[in-house]
Amino acid sequence: MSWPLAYAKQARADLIARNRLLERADLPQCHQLHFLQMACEKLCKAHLCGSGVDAEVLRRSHAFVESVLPVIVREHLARQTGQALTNRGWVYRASKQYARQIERLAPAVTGGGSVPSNCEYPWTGPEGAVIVPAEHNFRFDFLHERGGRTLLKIIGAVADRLIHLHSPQAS
Amino acid sequence: MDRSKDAVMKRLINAHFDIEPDIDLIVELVGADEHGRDESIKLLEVNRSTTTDGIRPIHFGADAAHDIPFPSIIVEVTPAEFARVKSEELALPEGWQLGRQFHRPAMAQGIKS
Repeated sequence: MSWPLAYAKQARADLIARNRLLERADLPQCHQLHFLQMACEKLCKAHLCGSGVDAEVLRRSHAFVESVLPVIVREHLARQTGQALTNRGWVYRASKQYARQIERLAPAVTGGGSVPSNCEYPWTGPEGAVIVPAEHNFRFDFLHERGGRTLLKIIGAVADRLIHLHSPQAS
Repeated sequence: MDRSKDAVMKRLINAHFDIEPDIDLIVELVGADEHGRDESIKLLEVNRSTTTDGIRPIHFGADAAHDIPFPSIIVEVTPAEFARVKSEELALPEGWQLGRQFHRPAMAQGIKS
């Protein structure tokens, strides 16, 4: 199995797991956000591997989502319309904002120390308080912000497309 | 505040008409066990600006901050895809059917609860 295919399949598995978590009203948001961050990171790695980047280099790194996810979205939009962004430019712009937030959910990405919050490990907040991800409001609102649902749909669609693209029977 | 599933669904519909100017129609999706305790609110949203990617249910958890005590599932489709759903060329997930339709209100007053 190729690395692009493997990353894309795992991204899709992470998204499916996220959906299962969302069915439980009593679970903190950190868990479903963790799976979203992992899915997006793997999707970006699938895209980069497919473009020729060394998989071993990617395996050790985590800071891709902010720069690569918008590119993935832009390419997906271009495939849809057959041309550069049309009146869907706002989707691309929204994806840049979300991508930045999603990347910072990873514990290894701290925004140079300015963003210690992450969806996995406790961190030291203002005034030295220890903050627990399970009790933290990450202020993600895909349901009530413009473009949130569209972005999530695109993420799933791209995962499926990359799986199809890199599957042996597709070649 | 009315926290019945129907009232919450209508508040969510109004919210989406407010934030997404390119949605003209939202359709309730009805499952086989719609009155089940844990059954999600399900909406099909016809959005002129969304991508053509088929039927992709997007899941959301309950959202206390917005008074949404139920999980929800949103299916965004283009107008062309909605036409294919109505003609059954494009299948909804098993057991789901199109329910009530909610058109964008003419004035900024929202659909009635």
